[in-house]
Amino acid sequence: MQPFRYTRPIQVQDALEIVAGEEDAAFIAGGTALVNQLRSGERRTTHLVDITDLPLVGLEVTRQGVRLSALERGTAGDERVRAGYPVVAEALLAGASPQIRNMATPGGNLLQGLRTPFYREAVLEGQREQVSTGETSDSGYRYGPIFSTGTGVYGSDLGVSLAALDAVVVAEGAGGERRLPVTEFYREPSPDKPRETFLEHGELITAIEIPASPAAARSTYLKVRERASYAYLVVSVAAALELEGDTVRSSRLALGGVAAVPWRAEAAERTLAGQRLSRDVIEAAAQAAVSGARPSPQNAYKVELVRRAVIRALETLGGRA
Amino acid sequence: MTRMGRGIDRIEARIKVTGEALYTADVPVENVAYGVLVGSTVASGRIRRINTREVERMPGVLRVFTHMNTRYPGEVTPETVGELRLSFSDDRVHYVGQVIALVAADSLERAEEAASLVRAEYEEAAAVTTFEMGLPSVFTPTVDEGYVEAEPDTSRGNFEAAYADAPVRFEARYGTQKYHQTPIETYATTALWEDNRLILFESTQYVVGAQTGMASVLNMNPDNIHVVSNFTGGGFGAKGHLWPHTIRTAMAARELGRPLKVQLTRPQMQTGSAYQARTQQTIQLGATEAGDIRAVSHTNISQSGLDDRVEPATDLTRVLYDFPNLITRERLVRTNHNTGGAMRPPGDGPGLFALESALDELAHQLNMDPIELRRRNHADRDPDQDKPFSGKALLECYERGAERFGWAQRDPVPRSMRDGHELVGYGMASASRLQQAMECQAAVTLHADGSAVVATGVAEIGGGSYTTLAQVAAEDLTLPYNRVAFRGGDSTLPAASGSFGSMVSASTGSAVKLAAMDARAQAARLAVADSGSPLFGVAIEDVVAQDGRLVRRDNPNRGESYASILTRAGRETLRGHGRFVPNEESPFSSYAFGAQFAEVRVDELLGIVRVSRFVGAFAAGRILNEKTATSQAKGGIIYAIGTALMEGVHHDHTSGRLINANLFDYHVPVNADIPSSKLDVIFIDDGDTAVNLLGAKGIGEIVSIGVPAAIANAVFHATGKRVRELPLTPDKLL
Repeated sequence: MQPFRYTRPIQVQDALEIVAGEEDAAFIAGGTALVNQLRSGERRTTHLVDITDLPLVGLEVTRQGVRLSALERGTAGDERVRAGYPVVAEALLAGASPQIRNMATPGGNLLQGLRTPFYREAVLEGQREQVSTGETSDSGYRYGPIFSTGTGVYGSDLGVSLAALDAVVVAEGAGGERRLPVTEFYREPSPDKPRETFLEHGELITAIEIPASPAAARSTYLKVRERASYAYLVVSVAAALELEGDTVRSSRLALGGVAAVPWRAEAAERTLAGQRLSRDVIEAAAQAAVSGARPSPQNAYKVELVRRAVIRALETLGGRA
Repeated sequence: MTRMGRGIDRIEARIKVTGEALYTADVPVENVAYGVLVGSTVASGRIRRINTREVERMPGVLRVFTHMNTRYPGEVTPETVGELRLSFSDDRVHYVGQVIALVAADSLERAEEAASLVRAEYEEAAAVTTFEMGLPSVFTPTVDEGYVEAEPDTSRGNFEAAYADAPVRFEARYGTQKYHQTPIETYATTALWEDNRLILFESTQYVVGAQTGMASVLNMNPDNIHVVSNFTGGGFGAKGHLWPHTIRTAMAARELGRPLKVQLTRPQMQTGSAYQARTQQTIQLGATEAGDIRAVSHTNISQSGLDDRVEPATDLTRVLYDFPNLITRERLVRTNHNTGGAMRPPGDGPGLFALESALDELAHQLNMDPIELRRRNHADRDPDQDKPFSGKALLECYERGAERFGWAQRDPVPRSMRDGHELVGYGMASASRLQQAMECQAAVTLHADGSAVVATGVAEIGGGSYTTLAQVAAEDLTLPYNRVAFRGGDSTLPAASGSFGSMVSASTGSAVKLAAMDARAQAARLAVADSGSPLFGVAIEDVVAQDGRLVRRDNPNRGESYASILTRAGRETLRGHGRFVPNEESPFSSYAFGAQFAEVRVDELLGIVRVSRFVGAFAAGRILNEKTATSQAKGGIIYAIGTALMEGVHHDHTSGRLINANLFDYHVPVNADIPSSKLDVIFIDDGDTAVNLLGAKGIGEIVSIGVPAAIANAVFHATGKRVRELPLTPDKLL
């Protein structure tokens, strides 16, 4: 392990200045992702700035929505969130075991990095950037994306649920505060632009805001994985419906495990709009959700799995009072 | 009288759960240096150069060991090492992760940092990275001086004719993955030298094997090698052999003049030791309409690595049923992987996935109950050795397992049982495992204070051996269990069997029993010759043990405690010795048997399988400790639920690199996967008194055998879809 400095400031401004001033400095909160990445050599740092003591804890629930501070760990069990934003609570519960949830933070969750085993291997030869875009990897990787290139898939359950609800990431940096919608927060890395988000070096997530909406209250998160707990998603669906009788007024569908970013299934949302939530409409929406997928032979099953997961999620919501 | 041993808590339970138990890497050693291994990043070729000089200049680095500064003074044998070409032998690279450097530094952190900066330049060669790539070059192995010990083909009767004549025929191909043992404790070695004497703290399943193996490769007298392994954090076969990193660590410690500790990382475990080879098996069955199986062929192709090695998947097919006309064949494909090896349950695990799946398919084809098909083809004698079994209660396993499970409620029609979103299925499979034995020794020492100490150098790998072996002595001496202490895990103690092959209870247990009998006989001889003893003058054969005393057989009130015998004789201690030698000329064939029953629930839409209920019924002779045996059986079933549903080592096809060599991506079951309140184990006494002195058989392996087939059969019953390649992941059931 590379030697590094460790600092634990108590003011946000101090934390921002330290990281901004040092190219390989990094923020650390719960460390459930970063420590592993440092141990494996996937990431290197010269200075860890521990933000645990920053005043970034708190959960506000108002008529306008939820404001979740970056270090707030109590969201999954909060009754207001469970009632008004079930998709978020369910995603958090599906995201990790209780031990990890008690360490991890929402801000860190959104920055956990792409899921691809090739990162770990690539660090052996300093190839991380090439591999993260799929250039030197095996095209037959069965967990790879179906809507983007490379091998990396977006794996944050929380992030997929936030993308469905049009949540906004609040970040603070040298240039002041910025507000980035979750759907525009991530980008597919490329060799010349290896960063996976639009966050600048030295910017710190301070909060996440989830706007209230009628759909949010009727929402659900479905995670398909290959063991019952302590496993990343293979695919996932965050779904939210605003119903009038059995007619869909509006809907939100986001998919995990299908691309390098949380994938908003807009075509499926358009298919649902204004329709009665019948079996046929659900099937059509599910089909629309996977239209345009470009799987490899090894991960072609994901297309069918996503289609079926969308059906299950919508049926669940249709039956949910 | 029940032969079931009492369910006693483990001796070491408290120190294990409180963290006091010292595993190999925990043992404090003064002035220790730390070593970190570096693996190759290519699958085939030669090392042109390694930047060792540069790395040696880094802070705290003591030395970098590579093939350039390594010469092994002695020899290796397939019995002692898991791969015949030791790492650092030369500049050749045969697989990704092959150890090419050992970096020693004065702290672990400095060693890790330096190791991460080791770079090798390679002259790369073409590599066969996967089973599929090697398959076109499939070949028949020949018995060699390495790991191919058995002739690849066997037959009895006339398969071709019987198959041609069979009114019902069935043929299918099955696959199992490459699996790694993933014990929770990664390998650790600490080596220190005192003059020319080596003290080796080692994670091992076989203390004596580590000692003699090191002696051979270092060209030393075994008496100058002291191996200590207080506790081993799981092995499952991974720690049965000596591995090159241990050897090089010991040599490096001598060269550095300083103790050296090396612990493998989790990813290094997958190439630092053996694994269970991937298999592709083809089974042909020819039967009558009534379900008499007349013809069977079983061909297994297993994936070999650097050394040829067969994953012996066809062995049980020769024994488990009374198949009159049979062919078995073992074939290999060579790949650029490390050498495969034993992993619980070796051979029979993959083999019975195929055979027991095929029988289920045949039963379905014949419209016959799967248990009935197995009953019809039951082997009353071992058809392979043509010998009677020393004990066999397979039919009782079917019967009592089925009863406990509720097999009678099974509607035989696939897809006929449903619960909401989920299809429900029942499946079963047979299990069996050869009883192996190994020569070994033990000592039982009586003390004048009335206590006893059992000593044998057995490795405690998690199964509870220290406890059950102490129990064997306590029962023989009729001492209260808490008066018997246990010492193990040390090569200075009498040589125990390896803790593998399901043989500790039977082999080392027999040695302990003999040692206790010897101690008891010596105490009896002291007493009958002592005029002060109530047993004075009694014939030695009329002295028996009862309630911690030696008494007259015809009058149990006449007798005295071991303590008083020793005290009056002026003896502090009295040491009994036991040597167990397997009976190579046994007129019997000895196997454990079992039946596994699974209930699964399959999400019809999403293809997610969960095991919702499980019953394992095992006939394995006398069970020494009901509690540890039950725990071991449950653990073995859980382990094999992983094999069925999620497990497998995966390589990048292009580079050959491991892509899931960590516990997050290499899935084994977590609590949420296991129906812990509906996991039931039954032990059935087969009345076997011939297998060994204790009438005990090993259960470490049989409990995992048959489980994947029972689950796959249940999935077929639930869904109507037959999955012939493990694991049963959702993609296969869409």
